[in-house]
Amino acid sequence: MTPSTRPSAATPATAAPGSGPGAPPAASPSAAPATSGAARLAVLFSRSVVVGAYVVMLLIFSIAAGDTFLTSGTLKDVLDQAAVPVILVCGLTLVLAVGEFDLSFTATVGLTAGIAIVLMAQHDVPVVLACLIALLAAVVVGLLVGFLVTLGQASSFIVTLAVGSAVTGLELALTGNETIYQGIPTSFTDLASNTILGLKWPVWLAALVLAAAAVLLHRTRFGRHVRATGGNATAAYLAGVKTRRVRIAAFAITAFLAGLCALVLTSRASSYYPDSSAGFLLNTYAAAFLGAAIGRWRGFTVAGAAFGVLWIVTLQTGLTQLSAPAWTANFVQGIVLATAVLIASRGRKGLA
Amino acid sequence: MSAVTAPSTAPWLTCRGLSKRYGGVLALDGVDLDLRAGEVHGLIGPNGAGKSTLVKLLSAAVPSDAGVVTVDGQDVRLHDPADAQAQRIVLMPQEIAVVPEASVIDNITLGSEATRWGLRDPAANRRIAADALAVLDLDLDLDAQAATLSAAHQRMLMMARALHRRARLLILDEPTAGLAQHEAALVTAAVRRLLDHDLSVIYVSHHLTEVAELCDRVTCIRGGRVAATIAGDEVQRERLVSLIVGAPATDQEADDAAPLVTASDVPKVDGVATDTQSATSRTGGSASPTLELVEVSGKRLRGLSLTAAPGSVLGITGLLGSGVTEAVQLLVGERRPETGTVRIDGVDVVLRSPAAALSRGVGYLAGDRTRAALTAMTIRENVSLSALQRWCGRIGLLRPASERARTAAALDVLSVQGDQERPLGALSGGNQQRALVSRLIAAEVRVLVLDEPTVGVDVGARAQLWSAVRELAVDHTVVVASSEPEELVAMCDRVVCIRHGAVSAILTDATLTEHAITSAVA
Repeated sequence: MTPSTRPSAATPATAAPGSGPGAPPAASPSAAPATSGAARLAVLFSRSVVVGAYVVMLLIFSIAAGDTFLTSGTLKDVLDQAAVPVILVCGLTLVLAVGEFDLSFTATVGLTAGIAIVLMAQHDVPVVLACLIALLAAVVVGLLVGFLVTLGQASSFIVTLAVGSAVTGLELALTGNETIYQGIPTSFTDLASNTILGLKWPVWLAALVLAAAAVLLHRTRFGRHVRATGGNATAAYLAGVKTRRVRIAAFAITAFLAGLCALVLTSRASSYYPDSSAGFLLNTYAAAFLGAAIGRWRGFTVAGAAFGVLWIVTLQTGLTQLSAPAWTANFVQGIVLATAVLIASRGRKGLA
Repeated sequence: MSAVTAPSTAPWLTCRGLSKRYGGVLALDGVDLDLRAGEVHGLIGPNGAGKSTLVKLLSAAVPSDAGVVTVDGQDVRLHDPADAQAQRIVLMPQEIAVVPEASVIDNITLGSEATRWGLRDPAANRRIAADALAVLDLDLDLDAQAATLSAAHQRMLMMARALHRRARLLILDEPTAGLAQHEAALVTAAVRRLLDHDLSVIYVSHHLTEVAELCDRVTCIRGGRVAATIAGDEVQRERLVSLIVGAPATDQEADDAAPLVTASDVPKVDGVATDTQSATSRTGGSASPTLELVEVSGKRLRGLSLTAAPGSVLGITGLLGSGVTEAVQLLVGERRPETGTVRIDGVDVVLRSPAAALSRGVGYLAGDRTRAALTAMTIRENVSLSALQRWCGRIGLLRPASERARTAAALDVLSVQGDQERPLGALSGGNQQRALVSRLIAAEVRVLVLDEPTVGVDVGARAQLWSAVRELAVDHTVVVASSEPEELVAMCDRVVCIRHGAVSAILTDATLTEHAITSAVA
């Protein structure tokens, strides 16, 4: 950024009406556009807070847990635990970047899991076919959410909450609200435990999804349209972006990824537990917002969100190794999410 | 209508030397104004003359930098809205500010409800509302939701609210904007009735016929100063037009008053070498198309027809609510006509969305910059947004190097300099606007529809934009919607004036003057 980027002679239109002579001098740097030094400092600070806190956390855990923490075993554990949340957060990042909310994706995980397991365990449907049907159902749910959100002008917050509830109801109706562990083909349950190059198969799947999502959001026209829609939907629409289609696609992709997670989870557990996925909701949001807090000024990024997942899974793994009481994980995650949201929104306000 | 009540001649409110500066712009420069009891005082002037600033100072929405206001001979302080309330000065803003879900009663008594022992007193509130409506001679269902009322009745509801607050000065800012003729008549009739109640009205309007009929005296503001205050027989429509334009009353003489940049200053046909030529060759070298509206009707439009011809700039103008906005929306696919058609090169087309219009080569720059700019995204991302459809392959992968180069080329056409990786919001208003025009160039559109292209752009940048648009007209069809006569004269080859949803005048060459435009729209 060159010095010449400072706007010369701000016109009345760009000067904030509130920043009159009465405004305190401290407020003016943050009101200035992104190129001002103070704003850049603020961004640098917010980034370093999240990264710095991660380093501090690693230090604390390795001191408290002794030699057992910083080992390749822990690393593999963390990566394995991170696989599902990473896949979920890739979808969520897309939805957040398009300017919407999705509270239904954990319900989609449950429904997909239910469909896949019921088909293969109770109706002898071949594994691959059962998986495809389940994924198709997930995409249908995503499309439905997308249509509902874009059809009316309802808040996606409420729409996805409602759809999530209905989807969970369907799941429980389908599976009779019972744990299913008999009759699941071993070819399916073996999937998650197979290792390639020392890492379990879901880790590789997560890496693949991560790369694909990063390319999709940051290196394609669709991704640009997603961010334009999230940045200013009216402006994007008038500039020829098919904003409705973009929104629906974001929800559908999120639902598809939720479906993938369902397959990983049931394969790994070798069984189906009714309504077991709700716990992912808070974690995924926390990770996405942590990512936005460290990301560049452009908001939600795939890489940032993946780091957010790493942050949270490390925290959970560390607490588990320390045999910390169960409430600590919830408590600390809540505080982390609140802090991340504040940092992320502050960072954007100073820049937009 | 001085016939209703002869206003007393002694002013009760006087302003002396009111000034207001916004940043480097002196919006109001020593304005004097007197108000008499029971008068309707018209306030007119071109856009940006300082009318709204004066109104804001009087209603204490913003404090003045200099000047004195006296009420009944006493100096008064007008620093925050509470001061205005104390002086019983009420502003009725342009935007309708009723609570749509609330009843007529609740809207009239809003903020000053009658209470008994701290609880709302329904009977008293009903009486208040009924009384206020009786003054306006308005027969409304007191329990009806405000949302169910017409726009005119909603405006009158706001007047009733002002009455209930025992306003001594009621400031009406464009009270008939966007209303159909018969609705506007309802509102002006209500204004007349108000005068029986020891009230003065400041009537801000571009509708000069209304102003001439309604006002006892009229003050015209131009460039932040009072150009003239006229009274009695002088208050004639023609005279008001001349005051606003600031030129002699006849068209002949008006022609002699040269505007800042005239259309003839800028080449109309002979090509200034620009990158737009390569754009044209890429679309097959075909000339830019003709874009037409044929007998379109719908919201606010009544059988409107207009034609934008290749290689020229067509202006569309009209007052707020005249149908200009809707006409533009039809041209760019933001709205579809109820009857009538949109034609491109003589062929009927249905433009379902801005995306559809874009794919037919029609690009749109919205007037309100919040509807065009992605301030948090980079300049590059803003410029390339509409072009990605062409620049990306089938899978839609971005090609960063080529995107940068093509963005630079498009920015070059509008001479926007500097780093394209900055956020758009970091640019000044004029540069943002030029970057957004570059978006249309990058998309290789053949028709540019620009809505209020220089709103919020400083004077120097305006002239630059004007000549840039004139150059684009060499190989594009350009449509400019604007409410500024000066701008229309400077940019356009032809101007269609719209009044009440239909064409009121088509001005070209010798007839295209600020005076003619001001007169044709009002």
